[in-house]
Amino acid sequence: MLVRAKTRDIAILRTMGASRSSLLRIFMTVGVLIGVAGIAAGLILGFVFLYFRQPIVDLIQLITGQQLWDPSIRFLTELPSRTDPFEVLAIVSLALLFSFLATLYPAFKAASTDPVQVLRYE
Amino acid sequence: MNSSNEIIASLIDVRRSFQQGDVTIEVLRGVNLNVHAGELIALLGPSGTGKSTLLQALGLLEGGFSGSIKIDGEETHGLGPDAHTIIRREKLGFVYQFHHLLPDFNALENVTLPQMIAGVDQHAATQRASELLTALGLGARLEHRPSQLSGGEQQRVAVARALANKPRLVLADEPTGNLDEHTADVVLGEFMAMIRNQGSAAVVATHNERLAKKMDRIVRLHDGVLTCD
Repeated sequence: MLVRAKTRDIAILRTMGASRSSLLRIFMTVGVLIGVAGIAAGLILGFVFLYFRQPIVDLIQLITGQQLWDPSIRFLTELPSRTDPFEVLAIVSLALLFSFLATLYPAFKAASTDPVQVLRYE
Repeated sequence: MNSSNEIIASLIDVRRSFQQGDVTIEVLRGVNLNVHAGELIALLGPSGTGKSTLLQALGLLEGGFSGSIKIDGEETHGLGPDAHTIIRREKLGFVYQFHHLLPDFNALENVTLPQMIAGVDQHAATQRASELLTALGLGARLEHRPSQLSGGEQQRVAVARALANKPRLVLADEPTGNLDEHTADVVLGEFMAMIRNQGSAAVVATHNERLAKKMDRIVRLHDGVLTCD
């Protein structure tokens, strides 16, 4: 999306002498930064959700009128939760890897922008 | 005219054709041109005669040309796109009919950016950008974004940007084509003065005979062939 929105700007930068590798670096850096911001936001939201899990279940039960967590069936009075740091680390690492891989195609597309073609039809 | 015998750019038997279905359209048919240091050349011709294609050849912006294209004595034919990029960065400047400024950056940043791409330190680049814009009468508009500037002011910023890296050759494609007559005269006058002050050369594509007569030399492109007045 970013590459498509910035195609004209990329073409202008290319005419100024910006190299393909510098454009590649710019868009990969932006992509990875967006990925890191998303992962950080996901981690924070995830921990907040886990911390307040029981009040959230209680609220949903109150709104829907349904018993979501019946202690007589599950033999537990509260929703259990255990955070495994290795699982968190693995998920964060995978998310980082995928966010990096997802930047490759748009970054290569940005780097291969033909300034003449773009600016000709402006 | 302040031109010298030093040749900044030369085209020798440059040809370019495009294929449209079964038809081959020859846009440039053996173009020869020498651009001397300090020289301002008007490239005249009606729309669609290949003026922009010729500027793209000189600007190393497109492949597919045959013949010899030398910039500052260096033969560019056979060089890869990365080498073309370096030549563009160090030796060429561009001004377009539509200013093509970066909309998210203010005037000062638009002129600073090409210098930073060329490796100039930010403080020095900002200083030069400020001097150029002030010389073009935009000292009070440095922080304004392109959308906050008039057409003439936008084009002045584009001129400053083209000259920021002190290019040997500036290529301008209808640089005043989008301006009213009075503003066009003012902007072109400033453009020519700055080119001369800096000792660069310029090739200006236009179809405006009146503006072309202000240049040092007029060349005409007709049916893919270049002729000198």
